[in-house]
Amino acid sequence: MKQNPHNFSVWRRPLIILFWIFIWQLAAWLIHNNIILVGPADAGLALLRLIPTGEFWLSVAHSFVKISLGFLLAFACGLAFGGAAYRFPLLKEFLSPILSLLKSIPVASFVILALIWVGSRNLAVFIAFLVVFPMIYINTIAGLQSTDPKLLEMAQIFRVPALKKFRYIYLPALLPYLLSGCRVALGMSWKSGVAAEVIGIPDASIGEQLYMSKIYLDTANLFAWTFVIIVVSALFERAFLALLGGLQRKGGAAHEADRPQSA
Amino acid sequence: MKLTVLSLRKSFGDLQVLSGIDLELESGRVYCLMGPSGSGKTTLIRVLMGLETADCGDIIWENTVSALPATDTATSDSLSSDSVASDSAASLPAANGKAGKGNNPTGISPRFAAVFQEDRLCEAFTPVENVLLVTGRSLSAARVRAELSRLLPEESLSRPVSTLSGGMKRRTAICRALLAPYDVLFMDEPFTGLDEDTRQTVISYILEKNAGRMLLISTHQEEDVASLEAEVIRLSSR
Repeated sequence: MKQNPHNFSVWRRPLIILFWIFIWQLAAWLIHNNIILVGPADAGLALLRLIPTGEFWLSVAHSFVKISLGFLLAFACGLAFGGAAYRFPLLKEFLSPILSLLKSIPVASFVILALIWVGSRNLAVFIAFLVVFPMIYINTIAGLQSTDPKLLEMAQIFRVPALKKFRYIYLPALLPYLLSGCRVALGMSWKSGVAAEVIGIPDASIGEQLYMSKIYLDTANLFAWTFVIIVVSALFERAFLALLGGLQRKGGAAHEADRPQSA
Repeated sequence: MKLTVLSLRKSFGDLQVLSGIDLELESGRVYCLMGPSGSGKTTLIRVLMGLETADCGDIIWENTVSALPATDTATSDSLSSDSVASDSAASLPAANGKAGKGNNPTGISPRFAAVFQEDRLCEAFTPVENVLLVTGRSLSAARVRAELSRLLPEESLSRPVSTLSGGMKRRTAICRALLAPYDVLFMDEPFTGLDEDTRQTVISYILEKNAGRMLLISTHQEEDVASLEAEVIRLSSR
């Protein structure tokens, strides 16, 4: 009997994941040391113990707000400065050394500096901002530079207003670059934000919980919190990218709906 | 409105594309710009629209004169205007008075619309949205849809332009230009990719919508001249 190729493709991915979870559990059984490696069963139990506690939700909310705020601020500033740098090449040259510096300095150095400047409370905001800003800035410039000059000529001849020009010509060119930059930046913001929290240990944060796992050699808790970070960052990433991806079509549809109905 | 072009010259590096072009065009008439490939049809249209700056010569819209560097009129493209048929001059919508660029930097320039050699449509948007981009608040979406449906199948109007055939894109570009507010319309080989029936439908639509305004069309087809009841402006090869 011939197998339905569609069915196989649906089941392939979960089966691969299950295979690696099995390998992980097998390794944990073989090592048989809960400090060096816990299996998925123990990590899952640790997570189930965490979820009903108020401290768990407080830590997740605290880190989520701080890291998301840093990301969103960097996104807004990266867009604004990227747009300005595209319009004014002198500004791009002027900012170039700062961008090179931001890209090359290790996050750990920034964390120490941020602890001195802003303390541990807003550390994750600051670090997420510094990591995300260069990515959004660079992708904004690249996206705007990819705009089709022939469409810009068309807009010039038809005297298309600036706002429409942005919505119809610049935005479609910019969005693929922005989406690609955000995919990387969203993951990086969580990785660097939590790493900063582990160093700065702000109260009631995921970073503090990871630090406690290290102090008590509680590998099960470490795995459970790591799973939480992955889930929360993935949810934020999907929601943000869906919002960004929907922008272009929504803009066009809104434009058509805005028209007066008499002519 | 009247356009007078005097001793217009344009070259790209060592390549002389236009040499000593003289023209007189009036509103209410259709002009077919003809000549072999490489004779400078597109360049002339781009210069007239202000997308390229001429090396020297004058482009005069109404009373507006722009003086360019001293003109060498010794050589000239062989340029003739064979009047096939012509309408009498008709009344013209007022130009909106914005200053133009290119060879007419200080004067009042008319409002242009164009069908470029390429379609130059926003691919992610529907034909209706592409037209609304250039029409301003003067036309409703319903009206634009009604106009587009005269040239395109109804079902294609809500699809992104990227999913349309080459001919459909071309008709969208033509409709966009004709529905935009303009005084002078330039069309650079607008019938490329259209079959004979569609071509005739499009020509009828162009003549209906362009009424009374100046239209300059570059084409290779002699039969277009008759269909458009146009005067011929012939550029010779270099």
